[in-house]
Amino acid sequence: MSDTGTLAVLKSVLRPAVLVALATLAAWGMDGASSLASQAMAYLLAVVFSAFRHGRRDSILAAFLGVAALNFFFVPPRHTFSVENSDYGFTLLALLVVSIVVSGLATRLKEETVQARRRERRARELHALADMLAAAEGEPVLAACSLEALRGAFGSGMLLLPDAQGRLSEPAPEAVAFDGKAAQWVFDQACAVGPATGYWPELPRWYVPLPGDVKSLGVLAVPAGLRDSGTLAEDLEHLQAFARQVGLALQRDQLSRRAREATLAARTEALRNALLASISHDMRTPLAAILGAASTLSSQTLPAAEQKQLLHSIEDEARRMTATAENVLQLARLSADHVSLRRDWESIGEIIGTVIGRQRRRGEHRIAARIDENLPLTRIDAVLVEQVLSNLIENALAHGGGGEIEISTHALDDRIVVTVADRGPGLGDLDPAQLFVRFQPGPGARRGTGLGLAICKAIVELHGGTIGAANRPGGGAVFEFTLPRAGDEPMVDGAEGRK
Amino acid sequence: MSATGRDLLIVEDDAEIRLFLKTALAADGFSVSTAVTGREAQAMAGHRDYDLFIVDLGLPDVDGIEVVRAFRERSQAPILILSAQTDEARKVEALDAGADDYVTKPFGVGELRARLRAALRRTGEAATNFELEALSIELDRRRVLRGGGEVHLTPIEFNLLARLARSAGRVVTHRQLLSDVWGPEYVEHTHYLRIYMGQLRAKLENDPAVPRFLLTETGVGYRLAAE
Repeated sequence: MSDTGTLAVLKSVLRPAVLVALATLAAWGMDGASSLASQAMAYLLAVVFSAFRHGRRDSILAAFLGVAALNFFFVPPRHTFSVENSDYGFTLLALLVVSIVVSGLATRLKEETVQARRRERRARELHALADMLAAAEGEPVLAACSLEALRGAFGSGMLLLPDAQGRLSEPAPEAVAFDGKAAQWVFDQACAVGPATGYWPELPRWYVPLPGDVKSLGVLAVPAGLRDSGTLAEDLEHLQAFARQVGLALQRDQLSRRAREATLAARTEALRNALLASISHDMRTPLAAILGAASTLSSQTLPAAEQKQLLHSIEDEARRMTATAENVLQLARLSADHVSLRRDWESIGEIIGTVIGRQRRRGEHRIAARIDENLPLTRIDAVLVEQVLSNLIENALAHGGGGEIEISTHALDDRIVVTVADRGPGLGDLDPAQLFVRFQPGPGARRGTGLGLAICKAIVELHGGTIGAANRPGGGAVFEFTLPRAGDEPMVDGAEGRK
Repeated sequence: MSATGRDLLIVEDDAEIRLFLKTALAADGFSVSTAVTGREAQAMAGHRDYDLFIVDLGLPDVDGIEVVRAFRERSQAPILILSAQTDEARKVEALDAGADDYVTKPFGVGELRARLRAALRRTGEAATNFELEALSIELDRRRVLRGGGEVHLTPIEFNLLARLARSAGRVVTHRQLLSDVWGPEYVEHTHYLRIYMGQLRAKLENDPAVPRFLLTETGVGYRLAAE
């Protein structure tokens, strides 16, 4: 037997002996003044005290010791264990019976109190866990909360969650006596193992599955018998209640994540379909023209003038398709995760001039520019801003009713404003904001609208600017975008400053 | 155009574009050879001196920019690049690696011919003068005339204009301009170009807002129109 065991036995003998000795002293004090019954009461008190403080075993020993002491010290003939009068014999018997009964009652009362306290503590722990889990969102946060509550309740413990392949994560290296195989088995079979479970009771730990809808969602691993009170079965039950709550929380989290993903997927899908519809719409019209013109040219002998006209139309429509392809490419680039703007000090007036110049070389002379000569330089991605202007001009050419298109620009304190205005039919009762929504081929959708304007919006917003459209006073539509100014223009050193 | 008998090597992996280029340029009088891959092109260039190269940047085997470098190491002949991407950074890289100019796919044959003419002009007479419409630049006398009258330019304005005139018709990257006019330590100062080009346009252009001569190649550089 170990030293602590010997000590425990010694204690359980000594404690009742000391109590009975004290009771004997008290009875000694009463001797002569009180009856034997009162002296017996002193012993009874010692038994009740022992039952409350030290439990059943102590108190029963105290009961027997007490009866023996009463008999020896106070029942005539004194200092012997013989009893001369049957009256005394009855007193002793009654003391013994009452002592044992009282000891039983007191012990049970104490046990019930302790159990009630333990139940209360468990309920409190579960409640706290439920509160924490309700406030937590996302698996890592849930796991951290669960682990904290688990360690608070059981002193130690691990939470093992599976990876995508259903393999449980490896526990931290400091986890002693951890059995990865047992944990994986518990996870796969959704069945608890360890002491008092009926499976592998010799294990030093419990492995309890986190119950999920179909299969378990993870495993709790907790050393058995670490709590200072309660039976193994009770602790196991408590641990399983824990596991149920954590399982429910994980399940709730998975469900809401799946719901979010489904919504996102549906939205992405809808967007992709709208994009494809928009692209094929933008492609089909010029393709029809090209195919028609090319097949006419190859199958018939036409007068030279008509041939030339058809060839021109092929070139024009191919150019239009190029613009669409350009937009699709740009869109792919802008949709990438990390769009980096290649910003440099640029002159917006220069960019406008470049776009107009290109249109003029194509024979398009309906565009006029009013550019503020003192427009400051600003830091922008010139290639992208050129695309914004190109798209707005193409849009105005296509829907501007054939009149002149006016581009103007001016600077405000914090931004540069560019407008592209036409004298076409205007926006009507279209919601201007809807024009820039990605590929919204809704009612009133006009040729080339969806993609080009959506890209304009994306580019302008990447620069931190704004874009909008409105009906122009006096007829037509006006598109306006702004780009933030980049603080002070850099200096030019040397003798030749800016004039 | 002085294309007759000139040896031209086209490096292009797309059969349709190769056919179109070969047909159009053979009709102009070039003696056209074609290569499908970068390695084939480099082998061909090792056996014969070409007068002009056309290189597609997106080749299946090696990076087109490497092909440009390899050609430039052995030859001073003009190199024109075809770029499918609208990726300006790649064009600039190819130009700084020694290419003379670029055409972005898809392109018309008119645009291609203009670029070829400008590129071939470089190997012709050592340019001392530039004349287009009302603008005339006398490089040797450091004089600029507009409609017959002399225009006063500051030294830097003149140097910038002269640099473009020496490459008339061809694009010159921001980096090349800054390095040649201001010095290698100024290659990041693109705002100098914006400011000085604005001043030059104000002095030389009829409509400075929509220039006729001093053209912007957004994201790449500048070009002095040659025709």
